[in-house]
Amino acid sequence: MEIAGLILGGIGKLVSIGMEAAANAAADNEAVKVQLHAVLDELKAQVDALPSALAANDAAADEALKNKFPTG
Amino acid sequence: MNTDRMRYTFFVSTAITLAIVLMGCANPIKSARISLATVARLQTEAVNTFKEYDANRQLDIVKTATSADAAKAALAAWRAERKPAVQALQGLYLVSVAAEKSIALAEQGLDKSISMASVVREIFDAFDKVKTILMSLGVPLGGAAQWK
Repeated sequence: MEIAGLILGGIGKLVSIGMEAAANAAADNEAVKVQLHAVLDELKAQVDALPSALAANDAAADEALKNKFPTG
Repeated sequence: MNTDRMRYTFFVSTAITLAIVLMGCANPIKSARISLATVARLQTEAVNTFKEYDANRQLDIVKTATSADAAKAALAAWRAERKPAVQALQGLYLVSVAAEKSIALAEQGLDKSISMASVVREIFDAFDKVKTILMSLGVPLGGAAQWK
């Protein structure tokens, strides 16, 4: 009976370790997902801003051109 | 409970526990998301480097031009040359979003045909194509250029 109790206790312990590992893995996955979404949001913001950033570069270059060649 | 049944229960429980622990340690969904986040960070870096390079390149063209007409022609040529890079960077973002959707579908079990290895390979290949375009324009990608 004592051995049976030890075995059952061991099984219970293993199952609780397994469940804890599964819960940790799920929480870890969720953290990675949240992190990835933040990185993708940042990328989207940069990509969306790309055309206007290039237009600003164009305007700055055109301005520099006017200053260098005022009569051109 | 007889001994055989106890032994059987013990081994089955151990096997289930180990399976759960191993699944937690070697999770392809998690690995795919980590790889995708790495590529997305490199893409953001590439977009920012490209913007900075474009600004400097245009100002250099003006600085070294000997006439207004020559400067205008060189600026127009560069602005046409950079178009594929802009399209590639915008397209790469869409590839990243599609990759994340595929990962989410696989995670929810809605599409069992999706392989995480192929999702990661697809996004790596797309980034390689953009790297090639940017490097052909002379954009200094730094660490991202060596990354694969």
